[in-house]
Amino acid sequence: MLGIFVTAAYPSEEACIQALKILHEEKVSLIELGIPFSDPLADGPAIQNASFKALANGINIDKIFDLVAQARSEAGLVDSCNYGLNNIIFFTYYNPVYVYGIEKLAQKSSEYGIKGLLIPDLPVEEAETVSKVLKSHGLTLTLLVAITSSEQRIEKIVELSEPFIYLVSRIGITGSDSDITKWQGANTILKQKIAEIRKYAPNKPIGLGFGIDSAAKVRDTLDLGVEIAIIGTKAIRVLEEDQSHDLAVFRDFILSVNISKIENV
Amino acid sequence: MTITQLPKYFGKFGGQFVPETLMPALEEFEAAFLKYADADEFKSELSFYLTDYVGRATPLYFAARLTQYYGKAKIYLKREDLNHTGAHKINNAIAQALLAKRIGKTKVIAETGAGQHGVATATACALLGLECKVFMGAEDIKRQAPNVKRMKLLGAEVIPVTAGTATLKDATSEAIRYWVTNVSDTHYIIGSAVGPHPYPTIVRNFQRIIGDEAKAQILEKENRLSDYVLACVGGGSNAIGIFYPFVEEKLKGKKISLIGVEAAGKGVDTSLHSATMVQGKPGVLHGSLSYLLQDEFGQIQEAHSVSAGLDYPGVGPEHAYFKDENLVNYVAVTDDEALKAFRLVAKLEGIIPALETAHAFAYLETLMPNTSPEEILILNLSGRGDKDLAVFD
Repeated sequence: MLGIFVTAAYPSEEACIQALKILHEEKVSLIELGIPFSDPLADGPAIQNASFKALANGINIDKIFDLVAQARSEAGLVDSCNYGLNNIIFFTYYNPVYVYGIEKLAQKSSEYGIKGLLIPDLPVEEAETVSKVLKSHGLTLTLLVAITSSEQRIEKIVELSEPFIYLVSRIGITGSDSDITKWQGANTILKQKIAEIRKYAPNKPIGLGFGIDSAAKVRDTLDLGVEIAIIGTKAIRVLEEDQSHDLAVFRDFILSVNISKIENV
Repeated sequence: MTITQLPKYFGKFGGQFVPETLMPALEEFEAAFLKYADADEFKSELSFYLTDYVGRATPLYFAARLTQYYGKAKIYLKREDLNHTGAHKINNAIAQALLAKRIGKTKVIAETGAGQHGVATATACALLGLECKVFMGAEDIKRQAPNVKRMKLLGAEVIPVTAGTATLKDATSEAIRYWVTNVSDTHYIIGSAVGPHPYPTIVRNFQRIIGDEAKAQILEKENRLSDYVLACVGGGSNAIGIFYPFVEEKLKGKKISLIGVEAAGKGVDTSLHSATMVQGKPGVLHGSLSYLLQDEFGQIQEAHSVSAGLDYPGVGPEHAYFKDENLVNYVAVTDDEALKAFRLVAKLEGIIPALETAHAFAYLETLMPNTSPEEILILNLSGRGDKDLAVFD
């Protein structure tokens, strides 16, 4: 499966709606919709800049719900499918969630058909209350496992994380690592982390992200035995550079990396 | 009983809001602190450096001319400006560097606003043979140029941060990002009482020597505790250091008025200030829950202060707790008031205080008329102002 991250209202509200529709039309399994934050600590320059631009475009959580609704109505959404616009999780730092109010955010997310939250600066120690509130509204909280996580920590994380576990592919912030040998060199440790996750959560899917930027790396990722390959920074870069009026370049990129869909056809 | 964990929260404030990648490093740092902080060999090494290298204990000086100027309570100054490197920051920097070595980290990073913590960390790293990188906002690099030169001379690499307002908040964010990427061999020496647990507790622990000394000194000089303790508050390390032992006395029933002075910049009713406690709301930044300057959607607002060290939209979580428990009263003074106090102290006492510290002095204008000559006040003179002379160019 493929997961794609886009920042809400980036490069503009209209372009973001168009991008969401493309992700839906190309049957991308999972959409991570970024709620921008002024101080994104886990992000490299590309997603930082996308966040700043989106905030400069005047976006906020209330408007993001409207943006999702707009994309769904334009896509003429069929409720029965379980991908694309029907499988959106919010990717956001904790402060916007805390200040908006987790109860209010959960309620509204449920109303607008958002499936859950992923909060990169909310480690398992701080996650219990948020997880409970989300659960009471039928939503999920996805937690992250890092290369540095001990087995002891992994056991706790995978127990709480739903519906999948996000494995951070390397020690670092978001952004493409062009050094392919570095990527392959990480396989031993990644395999070990995957095995540790499976040991405690044999039935939960694993999504791998950070540094995946091509069909080849999507292939590598799925070959590691994880279920979802997640692309963030590269999708943002393609959107940034796409000058075509209907985001044709972005669509081509999605087509090129959505290899599980290609193989299913 | 051996303590195996430090408390993570101060009331509802504090916590650990960082990417998972950093969590093991925080656990490791906490374990190292618990293992070594009370161990004789660590304490004697730290004490050696604090005494023979830093020059502790710093004097508690009776400021006769300043006292005479106001004609009210007796004013004592805790002379942290006399520390090696010219501020209280060195107390924490050396202690954390000694811990970093024991953890086996060979590289150190730090954030800095006014450059005082950057200089202190660069100094500790030179002293102990550690590699040092200091993240500093491009704007602060301009307004605190002498400290940039000092850091470079001490062998540190100064990394300019141009994001956002290019000040302390952005330097801290960038230091955290660098740490996420290099956590295996790098220790992050946070300079203020901010950041994820266990930093606020550890920084307070290494800075409380200010208050412990001041308490003993005032008892010796006056045979009683002071009625007031004043300190400036940005992130809040010098303030937590001098307040903490007095908070302990307060909790035992002693009547002491503790006052933290924030930067009101162009005024708290404008958008250009750093008065986090006076104007902020609870939120999460740089790893902990505390008071923050932010909008209704939780986006962090830009702070402003003439003083680079106070130019920060957050504050240490223990201060947030002290505020909510009414243990400390937090107030704010403007840029102009601070600059006026800066000149006054220089002329009356022959001491050029840091612009940060000048904020604490400036509040004397408001406070002193309400005191009486029988009362005693201690002001934490957290740093010297040689670095700030460019403000008068």
